[in-house]
Amino acid sequence: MFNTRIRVPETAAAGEAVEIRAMIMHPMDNGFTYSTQGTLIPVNIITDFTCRYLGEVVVQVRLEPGISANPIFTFSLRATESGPVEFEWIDQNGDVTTASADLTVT
Amino acid sequence: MIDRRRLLAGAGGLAAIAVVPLPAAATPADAAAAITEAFGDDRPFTDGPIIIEAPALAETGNSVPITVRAERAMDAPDRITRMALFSENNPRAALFAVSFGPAAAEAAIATNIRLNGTQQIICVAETADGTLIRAIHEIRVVVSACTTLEAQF
Repeated sequence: MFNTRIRVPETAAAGEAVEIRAMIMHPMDNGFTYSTQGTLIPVNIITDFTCRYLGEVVVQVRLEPGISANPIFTFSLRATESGPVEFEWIDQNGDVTTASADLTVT
Repeated sequence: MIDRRRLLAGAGGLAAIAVVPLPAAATPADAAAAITEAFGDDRPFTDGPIIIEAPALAETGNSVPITVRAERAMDAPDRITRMALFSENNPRAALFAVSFGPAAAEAAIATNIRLNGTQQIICVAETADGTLIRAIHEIRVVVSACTTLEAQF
């Protein structure tokens, strides 16, 4: 589990495009950098990110080492009815980090 | 003023940099191979409404903000279903791949990427009816991600 920060508006009008931001605190070690002791830092990355709204996929991202540390994604979803916006990150060891927020559609 | 201690410290620092091998950079051919792996090589690329928004000049390659956006409605029969970004000069050509589900309002995503030097970024998008769209954007990078050995942003 890693710390996450998500930004979902509390309310939205039906049919509105809602901007979502999701970040996870993760070093995203790309396997090409060295520690101050001169040893190679092994690859340690988040590999998958998925956002779902009302159970339907909004975006599904496959991450590579070319993504910066603390990966952040900004995208938008079409608000239709009130419900949860769920986020899921999976790292290379298969560990899952989740977060969710409720979106109220007025 | 340069005294002996400072000189030795400087020499040690230089030696430490010298023994660290820099990762081999990809070439445009590697990027093409990565695109083939992701999308196959049986479909030609077409021009389309894919826009790559990124700074023309990035100060550090460790974190370059980039937005890829398709100006096409998500309910069109030729809507964008999948996009992937490739680098021509990073040690690994693939940067990220994103697929858009039914709840997405538009085929657009923004994130931060690492870049190993000035290079072209290639975005390949696949539409629901199977055509491929390619967009290319050049980014000049002042300090490459792979030359800063311990810094992380």
